[in-house]
Amino acid sequence: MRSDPKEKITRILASEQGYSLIEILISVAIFAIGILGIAGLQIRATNADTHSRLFTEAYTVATDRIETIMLLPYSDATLVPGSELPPKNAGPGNRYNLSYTVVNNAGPTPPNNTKTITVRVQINQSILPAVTLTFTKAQVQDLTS
Amino acid sequence: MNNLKKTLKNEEGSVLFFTLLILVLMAAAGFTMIANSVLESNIVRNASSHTINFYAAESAAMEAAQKLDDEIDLAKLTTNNDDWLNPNGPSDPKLAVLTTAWDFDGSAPDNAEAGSTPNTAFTTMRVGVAKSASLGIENPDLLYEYTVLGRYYDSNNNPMAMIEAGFLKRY
Repeated sequence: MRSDPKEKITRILASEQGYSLIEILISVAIFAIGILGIAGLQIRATNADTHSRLFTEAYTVATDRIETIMLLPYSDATLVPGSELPPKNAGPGNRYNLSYTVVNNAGPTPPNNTKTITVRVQINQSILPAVTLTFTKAQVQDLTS
Repeated sequence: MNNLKKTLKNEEGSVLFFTLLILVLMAAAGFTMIANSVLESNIVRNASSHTINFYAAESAAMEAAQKLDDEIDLAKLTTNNDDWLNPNGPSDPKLAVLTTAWDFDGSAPDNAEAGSTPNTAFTTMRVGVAKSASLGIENPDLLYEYTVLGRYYDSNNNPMAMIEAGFLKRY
């Protein structure tokens, strides 16, 4: 039996054998491309959420230290320029490196008897910038005065 | 019509259709997550700048309190010698604007003074003799009450944070 090659191709194309396989292959290919894009979105969103959490915690660590310093006596030994407490890890999981510097102000601006204190919180093992908060502690804040 | 029914009845291409449907649903979920993250980042940024502004405003108020505390020239504590000391308390007509407009550009008449931290300003008002503090028998001096105010301004000169504190001085 001699078969015409043209007729053969037409017959193969007309039959539906293997159609499902090709359909599924194409679907899987499209799905894979789509899901890769969505996975990228999810990773970015998770990263952004992590950064938000780290920043919130870093600011909380900094404010916590500021409020502690506010309660210290004005002439406390740890509030003397050059002899501040060394940087140390603090916060949840000791993930944050906390340090602060003290400058004794001389008047008139800022006035005498005030100290400008800068609290710096660096997030360990992170490329995120450090959080710095600056405030002025005045001698009048002393509860004992 | 018959053709359409036939097309709808057979299942050719249904896998592709459902694949695309799931993909669209997952994309919607992904975009919602991104939108939530952006919102979260904005909340954090807002909260952190509020913290910075708050301490800047408080620093300005503390400067004002310290200046009042350090002042030994009593005449300066009761007159409008300095731009930032408003001697007549809340009844001073100049103070009507204190809750809205502060003038601290250095050219008289000012009702506030720029703080040492950039974009901050402070002002004080002398309220008068502190309540229930005037009967000092052993001490001829009276206890005077002041209100100390500090503000932080943004780069467009809009007030962003304000601190109001009381201050007592005996003289």
